[in-house]
Amino acid sequence: MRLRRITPANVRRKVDEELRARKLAATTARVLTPPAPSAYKSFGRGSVVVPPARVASPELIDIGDEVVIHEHSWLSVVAAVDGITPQLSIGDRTSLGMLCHIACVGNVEIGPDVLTAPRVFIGDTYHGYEDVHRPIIDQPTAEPRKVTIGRGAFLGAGAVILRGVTIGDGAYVGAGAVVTRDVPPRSVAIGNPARVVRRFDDATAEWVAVPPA
Amino acid sequence: MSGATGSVRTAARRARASLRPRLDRLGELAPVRRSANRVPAGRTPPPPSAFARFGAGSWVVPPARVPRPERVSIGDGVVVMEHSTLEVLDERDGGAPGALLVLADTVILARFNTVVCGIGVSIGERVGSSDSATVFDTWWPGAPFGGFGPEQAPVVIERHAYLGCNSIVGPGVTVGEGAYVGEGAVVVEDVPPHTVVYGNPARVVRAFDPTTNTWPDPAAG
Repeated sequence: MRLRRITPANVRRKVDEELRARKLAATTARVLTPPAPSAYKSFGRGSVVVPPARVASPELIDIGDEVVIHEHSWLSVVAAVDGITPQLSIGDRTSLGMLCHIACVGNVEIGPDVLTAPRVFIGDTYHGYEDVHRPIIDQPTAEPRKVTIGRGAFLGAGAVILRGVTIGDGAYVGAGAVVTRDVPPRSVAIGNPARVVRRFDDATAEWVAVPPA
Repeated sequence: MSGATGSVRTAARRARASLRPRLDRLGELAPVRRSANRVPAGRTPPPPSAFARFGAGSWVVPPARVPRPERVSIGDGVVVMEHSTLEVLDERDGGAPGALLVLADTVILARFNTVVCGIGVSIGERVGSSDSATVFDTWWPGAPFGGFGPEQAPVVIERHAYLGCNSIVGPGVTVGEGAYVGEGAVVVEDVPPHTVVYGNPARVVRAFDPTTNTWPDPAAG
């Protein structure tokens, strides 16, 4: 460690650095501490949002019973489109893995008994890009379309569920899949863009391969 | 003699007077407790003075990994959210001697973003990103099998562009102005300005037509 002469200027610099560090730590702790259960629209029994987490507008979030939302989730529920009150609902016994990011300005419904791996992104909108004179992050978000994750579905690590997609009941979305179209119930979708590769045949009660289109 | 002592006393009084308001504020703010704020050891971002440049109002949210801040230049009003990495490779790891990672003014990088710079990464004004976006300009093809040495080429993200969630931008790529890199896209070729790319490898799915000032529907063309 390099020793500095103790001069008023050096002490001032040191104190300023310490001040800044404490201020940032206080802000970080405030931003990353999830709100109390009473702040949510509903918060079921035995549910937990594990800190640190970023939760925007908890008053618009329904959380069922025995839900676990693991560390570093970002429930970004924002009233960004005029005339639309966003609504995020997470069903009973759902478990969202670490680092999940939900961008909701319209309606996102995650059915009961859903399991997701880490780093999942679910968005019912995207940042507008149509105005070529403005930065994309400063443009309004697109008109939302409802995203539904069906009962008992599974989302693999790093899966991305885009606007307007419905994942059917019991569907399996592979790791890293980017889902742009609906996934039927009891089927397996993988890839970028995602494609259904297997489905459960109700007639024979067997899983059958789906050939490429 | 007495004059010298007096000047020292005066200097000390002045120093105390200039420090007092700061020390008062220090008393109001609780000291940083790593356990309370969950900042693992070594993941506290370096102080602004350690950076090549650290603009006014910029914020690198802890925990963050910035191993060589002297090679990182950050503009004004930049936000880099928690768990991000801004890494300029050491020369013994294949980094070029003058490598510099530049974040221009008002860049916003979300959480878990990784920027690895071996020769030069430049991120333009008001670029935004979503979680887990990755930008790197160096890679080691076949590294697990003996390796072919680093291959590197500078990466440029032009101003106003956006990197979607889980997107990856590889060596030598220029992402054009105002381009939208879709969620999960793997970008290995240049992205023209004002286009939308998706997929692995990333393909242009929509492009702005400057002659008509419109975004033609891809289905029509």
